[in-house]
This record gives sequence, C-alpha cells and structure tokens, in this order.
Amino acid sequence: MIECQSISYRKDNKFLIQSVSFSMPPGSFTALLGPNGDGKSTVLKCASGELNGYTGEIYIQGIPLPRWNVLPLAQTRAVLSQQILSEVPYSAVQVVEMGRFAFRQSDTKAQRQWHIQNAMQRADVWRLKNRNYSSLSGGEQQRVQLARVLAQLGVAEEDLTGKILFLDEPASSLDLHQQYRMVQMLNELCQRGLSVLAILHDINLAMQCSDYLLVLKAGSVRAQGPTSLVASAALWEEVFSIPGQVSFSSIEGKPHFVFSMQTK
Amino acid sequence: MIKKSNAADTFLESRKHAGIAGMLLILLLLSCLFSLEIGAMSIPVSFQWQLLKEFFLSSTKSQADQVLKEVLLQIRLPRVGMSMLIGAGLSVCGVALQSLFRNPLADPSFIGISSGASLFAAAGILLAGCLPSGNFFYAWLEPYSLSFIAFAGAFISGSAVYALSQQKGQIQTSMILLAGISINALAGSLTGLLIFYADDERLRNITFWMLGSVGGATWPSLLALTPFVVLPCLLLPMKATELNLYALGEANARASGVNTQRLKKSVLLLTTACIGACVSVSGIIGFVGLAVPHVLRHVLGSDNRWLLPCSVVAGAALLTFADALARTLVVPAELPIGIITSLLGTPVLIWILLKLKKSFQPI
Repeated sequence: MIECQSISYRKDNKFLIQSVSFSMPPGSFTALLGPNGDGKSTVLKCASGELNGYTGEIYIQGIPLPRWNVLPLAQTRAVLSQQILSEVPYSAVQVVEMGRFAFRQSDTKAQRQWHIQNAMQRADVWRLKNRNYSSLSGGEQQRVQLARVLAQLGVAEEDLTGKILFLDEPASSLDLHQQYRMVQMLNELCQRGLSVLAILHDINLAMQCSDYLLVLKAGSVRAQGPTSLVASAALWEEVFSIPGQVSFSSIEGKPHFVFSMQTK
Repeated sequence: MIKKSNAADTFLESRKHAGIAGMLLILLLLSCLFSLEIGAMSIPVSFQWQLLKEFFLSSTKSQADQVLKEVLLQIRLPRVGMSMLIGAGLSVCGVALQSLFRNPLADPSFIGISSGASLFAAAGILLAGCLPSGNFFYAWLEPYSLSFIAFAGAFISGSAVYALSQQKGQIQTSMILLAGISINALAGSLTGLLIFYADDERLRNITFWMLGSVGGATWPSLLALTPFVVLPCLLLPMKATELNLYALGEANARASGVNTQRLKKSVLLLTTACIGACVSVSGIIGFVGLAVPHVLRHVLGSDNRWLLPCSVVAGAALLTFADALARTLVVPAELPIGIITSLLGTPVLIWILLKLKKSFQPI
C-alpha cells in the first residue's frame, strides 16, 4: 500500500510536478501516462524514494517514506529504472542475483537459487543465464533487469501483499510478444497482491492491463481513476494533442484508442 | 566477465577462481623468497630456512653467520614486508575505487591523495635543515619526519576532495572525480613551483621521492604502516557484494538496498588512509593500482568477491618482485621502484588491451 498526498517537486524554481496525489491499494496495477517531460519519472522517483526534497507526504505501509531505511525499503519495493545499462561486466544470472542483495542475510543458498530461477523464467531470460550481459540485445537486457527486480520482490513466493513494483517504461525495448508476456505476468502477480506503478507510452497497452490510470500533463494530474471510467477519446486528444476515438473491444470489453491521420 | 562463456557453470567457475587464487599465493611466496635471497649479499633459501628453524626451536647455539643474519633481519625482511604491504594496499584500493566510480581509469592517484602527499614531501625536502632541531621528539622522529609530512599532505588533500564533493551532506560521485582532478592540478602546480626554487641536490631528492622507493624500510616504519594497510585489506573485501551492485549505477544500487552514502564514506576513508600511508613511506609508486586490477579482471572476471582478496595477494607479489629487481638490476645503485612497476605493468596491460580491443568493456 502506498499513498502520496499532494507531492510537488521543484527544481530551479520550476515545478516539475505539482500536487500529485494518488494511492495504490494492494493488488492494483496503476499506469502512469503523459507526454514526454511532463513529470512521470519525477512522480515515480519521488514515490520510490530515489528523489528526496519533494514537498507533501508519501506513506508506504502507513509509514512516512523518509523514515524507511534503505534495507527494509529494498525488501518492500523494487524499481526498474528507465535507463537500461548496457555496460555491466557480469553474466545475466549474476545481474539477477544482485536483486537478492537485500535478502542476503536471510536467504539460504537454495532459496536464492529458487528466486533467481523463478524470476528469470518469468522474464523469459532463463536460457540467457550464462550469457555475458553486455553481449545481450537491448530488449534482452531490459528483461534481465526486469528479472532482477522480480527477484528482489521474491515473486516466487505465493503471497505478494504489501510489495510494490515501480516500472519506468518497462516495455520500451520489448517486441510485441514480450510486451504481451510482460503484462500477462504482471497482471498475474497483481492477483497475488503486488501493487504496480508503471510508466507506459502505449495507451492501448496501458488500457489493456491497468486497473487505474494516472494521467499527467505539464506536471499536474489531468485525470485519474479506474481505467474504464477515465479512458476517453477526449482525454487522449487533449493530453497528447491527437484526434482519434476510443472504442470497446469485442473480446474483453476493454477500451482501446485509435488515432486518425486526418488533421482537423 | 570478458569471455563469452556458455558453459560457465558456477561451481566450475569458482573452482577455477580458487585455482587462480592458489597460484597467486604461490607466486607471492616465490617472489618473497626471491626477494629475500638476492641483493648486494646473497642469502640462500637454505640459510633462511635454517634461521627460521632456529627461531622456532629457539636453539641457543646459533650456527648462522651473524652478518648474513643481520642483513636478513634488519634490512631484507622489513623491506620485503614493506613492499608486500604497499603492493597489497595500492592494488586493493585500485580495485575498490574503480568499482566505486565505475571507471576503469580510477587509480590511487585519482582522488588527489598522492599529489597532496608529493607537494608536502617536496616542501619538506626543500625546508629540511631550516627547521629547529635538538628537541627530543625531533630526534626520535627525524628519520620519519618526511613520512609524517607527506601523510599530513595526503590527509589534507584527501579531506579537501571529500569536502568539495559533498552537496547537502551527500557525496556526489561525479564531484569526487572533478574535485580530485582540481586538487591534483593545484598540488601539481605548487609542487612545480617548489621544484623551480629547489637547488640541484634537493631537486634530485624530490625527483627520487616522487619515483618511489621502499629503500627506507625499517621495523618501526613497517609497524606504523601495518594498520593502515591491513585494515583496508580486510575491510574492503567485506564490501565486495555492495561494490558489485555499483555496476548497476548508484541509484539502482541504492534501490536494491545498498546504503550508498555509508559505502562511499567508508571506501573513501579506507582508501585515503591506505594510499596516504603507503605514499608517505614510499613515495609515489605508480601503475600498481591500475595494472594489477586490470590484469586480474582479465583472468577472474569482475566479481569483487574474488577480485578484492586476489588483488591483495597479486599486488603484494608484484611489488616484492619489482623491489627485488629495483635493487639488483643496476648494482650498486638502485632503480626507483616506480620505473620497474611501470616497465613490468605496461606491456602486460597493452597486451590485454590489444587482445580485448574488440570486446573491451570498461568496468
């Protein structure tokens, strides 16, 4: 459970984000959307504890974020950052093993192996385990990093209630199949209690997999709420300045957005 | 890891690494024996063995040649001990700093410590004789005064880098590099100024100090150096896993549970103390902190859990061997040890770079 109450972050007298409030109940998938440079990553970095110096209150499990120590925080939440490192001089499995750092006192060797293998299989990188990380393609590197944060959350365990996953553009280098696999996997983890906050650029991917939307425009919340209620053509037209329409899919009744190439 | 391995079974990998570590230990033993043996007076290994037996069995009737014994105990042994400590300290600090900065070029001279020590040492050499003498402490400290002055310089420049790189109570890694470069430049230009005013003899002394030597080794100086080197050699390997996570970048390491502020502080403190102490007793011995980590990374991979302890052993072995060469190659004179380490280290490093040209990865 995480709760943000009117958080603002200012840099050089300019508000990067302004009074953003939201909460993420256990088992919810929240998609964070908005144009480039309008504060999505800043919100994610404040909520995940990477940035301090924000104003407002952030509570994780009811405890204010500044009172969390580095280690217990790492045992509660994991962060997949936007920048995919290309030069890491380790094998894929060694990178994933780093995810278990916060549990190195409590993990037995067998438990650690179990978590690593489970996370790597979920991210579909188990067969790459002995490959040199730097020799992997961008999409593969992104999935290895995903496996690392999954290992950190201990997704092999049945109950994930209270655990939080922050993802900053996790799908940016993934092909369609891998995007599909990833959101399937994340939705399954949410059913076991994990809360996910993911920055996504693909509106349709976001509307397919998320329970809640948080839409930012110029650092302020433009819309937020349950996906099926918030998503509308008018919203996307306004936020992304493109004409189009939202229709509901005949397969699952989920909304999807199609833009039109005709300029108004 | 540099090679593209598909069969890198973890168990086999660690067996291979243990084998390499064992070989390094044997290499260290051999270079110690070699270094103890050769010199202006040759002390054969059999004699060393005899002396060792005598020492442990404490037989009163000593058969050993007293002169050889004196040379071995008062000159050779502290010198070998000193080169082991300095080699170990410089290379373990090199590995730790390279991991911390994620920069393959980081070496002990990087963070401004050696240049601060040089500046103060140069000032000390220039002012020698101008200071009041005759006082008891002065008489006792006199042989080591240059080391104390250099250590003060290392401490001051290290603190200056530390203070400059702090922002709102947090150490910024990129700022450490910039602060180190500026302190290096400042100390370098001031040293240049001192050299400009030095007469020929003092100029020669300054130059020799800067090229490095372990010739001044005595038991007291060895004892004084020991804690500064042994502590980092024990404590830095305990930070190996945390330093490994630094390869993911500072923010990711922190998100994974590494207390990055505490890690930075302790690594900087340990390396500053270690490098400062080494430089102040031996002058600047370049390249050990750069070449040893790179060669080891080539054979062991980048895992600091192996790299840090192995660099202790390899650095000790290299410097002991280099010192043996330094005092025997141009008998009766002595080559500055820094020249030997560079001459030994550079070809190996260039060979590795050529081999890796296509797939070379920085840290």
